[in-house]
Amino acid sequence: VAVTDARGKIMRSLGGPIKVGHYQLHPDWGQIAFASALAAWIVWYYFDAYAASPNVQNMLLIRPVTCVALIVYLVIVYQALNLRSAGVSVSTDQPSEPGDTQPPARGFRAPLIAAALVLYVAAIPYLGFDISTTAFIAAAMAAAGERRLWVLAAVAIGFAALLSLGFKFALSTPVPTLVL
Amino acid sequence: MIDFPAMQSALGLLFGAWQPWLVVFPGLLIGLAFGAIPGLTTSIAMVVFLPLTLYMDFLTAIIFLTAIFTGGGFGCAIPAILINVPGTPAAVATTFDGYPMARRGEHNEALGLGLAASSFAEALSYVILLLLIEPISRAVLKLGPAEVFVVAIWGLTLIAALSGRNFARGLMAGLLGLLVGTVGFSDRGDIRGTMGIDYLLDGVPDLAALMGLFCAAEMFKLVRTDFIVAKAEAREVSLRRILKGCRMAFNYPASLIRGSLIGVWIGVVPGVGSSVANLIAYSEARRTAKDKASFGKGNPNGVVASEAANSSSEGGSMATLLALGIPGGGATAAMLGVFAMHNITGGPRFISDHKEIVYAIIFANFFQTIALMVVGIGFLYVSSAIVKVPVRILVPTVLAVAVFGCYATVGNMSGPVTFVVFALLGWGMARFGYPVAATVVGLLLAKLTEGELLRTFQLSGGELGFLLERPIALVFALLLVCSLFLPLLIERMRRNAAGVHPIRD
Repeated sequence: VAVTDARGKIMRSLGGPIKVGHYQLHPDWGQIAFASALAAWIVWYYFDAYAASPNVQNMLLIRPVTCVALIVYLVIVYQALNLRSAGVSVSTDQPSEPGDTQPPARGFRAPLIAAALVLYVAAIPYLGFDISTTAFIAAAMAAAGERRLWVLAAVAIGFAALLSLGFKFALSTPVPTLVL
Repeated sequence: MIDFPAMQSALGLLFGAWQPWLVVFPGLLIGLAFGAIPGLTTSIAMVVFLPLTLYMDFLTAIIFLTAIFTGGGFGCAIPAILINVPGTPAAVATTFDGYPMARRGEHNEALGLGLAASSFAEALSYVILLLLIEPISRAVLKLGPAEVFVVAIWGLTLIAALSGRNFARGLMAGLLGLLVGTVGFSDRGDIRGTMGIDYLLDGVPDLAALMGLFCAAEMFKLVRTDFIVAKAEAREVSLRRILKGCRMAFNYPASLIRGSLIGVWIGVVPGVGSSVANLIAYSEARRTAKDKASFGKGNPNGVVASEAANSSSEGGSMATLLALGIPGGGATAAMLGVFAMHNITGGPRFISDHKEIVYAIIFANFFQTIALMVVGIGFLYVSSAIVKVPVRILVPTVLAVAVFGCYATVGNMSGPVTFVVFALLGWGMARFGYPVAATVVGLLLAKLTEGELLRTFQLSGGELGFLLERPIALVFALLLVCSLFLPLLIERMRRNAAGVHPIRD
């Protein structure tokens, strides 16, 4: 929530309302950027598919879906611009989830765990499933608020060993490991 | 339709020996466990345990595998309800209302609902199989790409229902899923959107992508809380309340029966299975309900519809397997392996020559549904303790299990990498108010939709008149249109009637 609010404020102070004649725009830049990223991938995919074969049989589903998606993108951008007549206050259109009412200090947990997850998967080819899983579980638990060292160690080592050995022997899935 | 002498010899086969019964409980437990661990599927369970069936006779082997099938059909609902991560794609729709129920502290009831709906639907699907196996097998041969395409579109209409507050973002999420689902080789042989990555030639691994989207949306949100269920007193695991949930399922007879029928119908069609059946049953339950707004917020009706459909599709896919020898999906393909190991060829001849075995399989499955109630309740009692695990331990361990599961399903690092990429995408989508479930629906149906559309196009040469020669497709399309617009029409008429006579109330 803290991040959301802070960013909202920064965005507003950065851009502030933009006046166009009798109207004011209160753009939600984050929303526009995210929708644009999705639209950019869709356009790239369209041209990639077109390059593979411009034949109607190849574009049978992709072409109409892309066209509709781009129209929908324009609608999303229009909504995110928050067009209002001058003088009317704006309510920002942020999704309010039940989890959002939690203490603001916890807002950093999710980005930390997401970063740990990326590092975890990137490390697997080098450290094997056993070591990287131990490190990930310990790091993510610490990020999620666990402070007791023995719990961190016990859960991380125990769970990583259980998973690695379980997949290796019970499921005959040869997960690459370093130690086990 | 029913061959009574064959039925008698089937009973003789089943009750003449104890071996067939010995494998039911282990099979169910294996199925429950594999279904309940995100990333592992019923098909994986069957393939892992396929070598064991070498030591069994044909009937015992098939009963063992159908027990895994039955267990898995319900097992996938457990994580769907408890942590909002469907164990397999078959339980995607179970998350929509099951998880909100769990967050309210009604996890016992939700699990009981799912168990009862699964068991009932499964039993019903085998009754239908018993009565109609021959007409079903004849009907399946009449289904062409046009018919399956209409079924796929039916599933896609769920995107609109999942859109929630902002229709544009919901539609965008669904269309994005559709496009991502077509990445890789098309049915025509064109390579699209792989960015030169060989792993993507077969398309984006959908199980890994699905788990990434669901896991991220939920796990990253959960870390701000301490427990899945906020109130300490609501976290209890109660046999009484699980049983209450089981009884509750029968308060929704319409969803139960409609879900089962949809499941059988979808299960029969090869290549389409429980992962589509649960979505269609859910959207039909929502569309025909009076309290549409409560769907997605923990309406038991939604859980019943989804679980009934994904379990009953087992009966449907068994019909195709037994009557035509065609595997409808990964699980029945593993069973076909058993056919091969015992030198038996499935198909019309199999049914006429070995009717007693077909009946024995059907009867054994009746027993399995009863056994599932018993084993399932025990399994639930243990697994629902997950709500007592603090989130700070739960989130890291669930993510690690998912990474392992994704590795196991794909067999290389592309599974975990897909998981992370889609986890980040799902996180962004949840952050900006896009429904990830709509993307998952698009993703799961994309290959089917495009493939069947392409084949319809190729068969018809682009002529719309072709549809007039496909009466079944037309009837399906008509049903689809009716199911979309009739509720709206009835609602409007009801409102008009209420508006005309306001004084009478």
